[in-house]
Amino acid sequence: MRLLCTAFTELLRCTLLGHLRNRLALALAVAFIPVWIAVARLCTSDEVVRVWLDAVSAPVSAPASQVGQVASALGAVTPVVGFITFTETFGSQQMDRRLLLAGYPRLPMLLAKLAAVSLTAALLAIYTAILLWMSLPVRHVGPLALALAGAGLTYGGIGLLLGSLVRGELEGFFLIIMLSLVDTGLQNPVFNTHMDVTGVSALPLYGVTQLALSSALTPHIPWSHGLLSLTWSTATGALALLVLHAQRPSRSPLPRRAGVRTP
Amino acid sequence: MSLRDPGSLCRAGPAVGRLPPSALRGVVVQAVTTCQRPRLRISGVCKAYGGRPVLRDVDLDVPAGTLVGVVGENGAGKSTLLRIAVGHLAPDRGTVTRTGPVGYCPQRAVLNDAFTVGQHLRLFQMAYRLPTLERADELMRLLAFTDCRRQQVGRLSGGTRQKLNLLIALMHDPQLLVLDEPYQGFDWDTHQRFWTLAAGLRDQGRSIIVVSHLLHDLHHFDAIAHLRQGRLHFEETNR
Repeated sequence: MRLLCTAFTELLRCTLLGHLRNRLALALAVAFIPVWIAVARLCTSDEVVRVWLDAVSAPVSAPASQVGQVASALGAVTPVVGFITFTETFGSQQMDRRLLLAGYPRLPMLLAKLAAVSLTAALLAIYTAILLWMSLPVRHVGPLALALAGAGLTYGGIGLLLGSLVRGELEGFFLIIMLSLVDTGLQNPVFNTHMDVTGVSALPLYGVTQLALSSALTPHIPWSHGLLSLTWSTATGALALLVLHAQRPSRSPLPRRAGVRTP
Repeated sequence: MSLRDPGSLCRAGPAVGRLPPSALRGVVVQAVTTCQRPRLRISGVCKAYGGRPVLRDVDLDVPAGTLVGVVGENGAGKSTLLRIAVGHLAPDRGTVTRTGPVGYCPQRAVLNDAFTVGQHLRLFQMAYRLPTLERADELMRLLAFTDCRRQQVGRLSGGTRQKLNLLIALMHDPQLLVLDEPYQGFDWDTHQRFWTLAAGLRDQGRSIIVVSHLLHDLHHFDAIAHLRQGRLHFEETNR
């Protein structure tokens, strides 16, 4: 039991320190999120727009710049968490395999990966919620942070999944950015004020977008939509772990006989 | 088949006994005294990629206290043979039997560029369930990269990465060592130290199989297995 705990904490520590050494990821996390929120604030007018929110079943009136900032924050957090997680998973595939073959316990390895994604998503969500709180009058900063964490977790799971499935780094980056653009773009209330695009509710960020906009701009906190995002996060995380589990080999018992006998 | 029969040390399907008995007599005596059966036995292994056969009915035994070289042209299937030997790759046909812990040094350094050298050692210490890193420290001194412990692997030179790649294969003092061109990028001194280390391990009864391209290394081997057109052919050495 002690070995499992040590194996978990050691790999988690190494993974988080590895994130800190990834300068591009660090720069994206520290600079891209505030810049993207600032761009939304500067480039969107203060004209009041009416946005339909399924979560409160009513239209909400708010300055376009405020709506745009919340949408931009979601659009910035998702590719950053997805990128960090994908880079780590893609880069550590062979080494993980070697560790497992050498006898590293599998469960702590998988849990450490999940914990690293969760901590990264939580940290970036808190950072982004503080930035939004400083930039606009947020009604409920806690639920807003949870919505951002849900968005990060969902794309963290997608990053884990793609990191194990795609063969090239460029393919993975492209897929994460494209998916995030489609997901946040179709749900950006500045472009889609009626939120009536068919199938929008099936997108991974539907629940968190509803929770984030409602928490930031209305007195309502639609927790049920938060649960929807939790479902997405759990589903992508579980699928990613399943793929990681299936792809990483079991430790070869020694002595061992492999293959089939020659007839 | 008995280990007392020199030809049985390295078996190669139809090539059984092709290795001149004089080439292996000393090795076999040593093997018989240290082990009753080979640490690695590859029997009738076949492997094809997309219909192109790479290994055809390959047989190879590596007893205790033996240093076997595997040579062959690029793409001859040497790495495939070694990956099958350690269980990283399944053969299409045939069996592989290993006894005792295995240390595998892959041809391309398999490391995590985001971790430091020290973190690699700590993680593999846990994987191998080692109480201390005493042996790893000893190997670091021998391979002359003790000052790199805190360095991130992604910033190391190719040669130092390869030293760590090799160290990870050796740090748990395995009975069977499977090394795929383990000295790529080594300077001459380190290259020589590697062979001293390999000879020392062989003399302690470890079984070692090394893929090599260098002609001037061939005299280090007790037996040389030449992979040609998917089959192993055994050659005499100067030892």
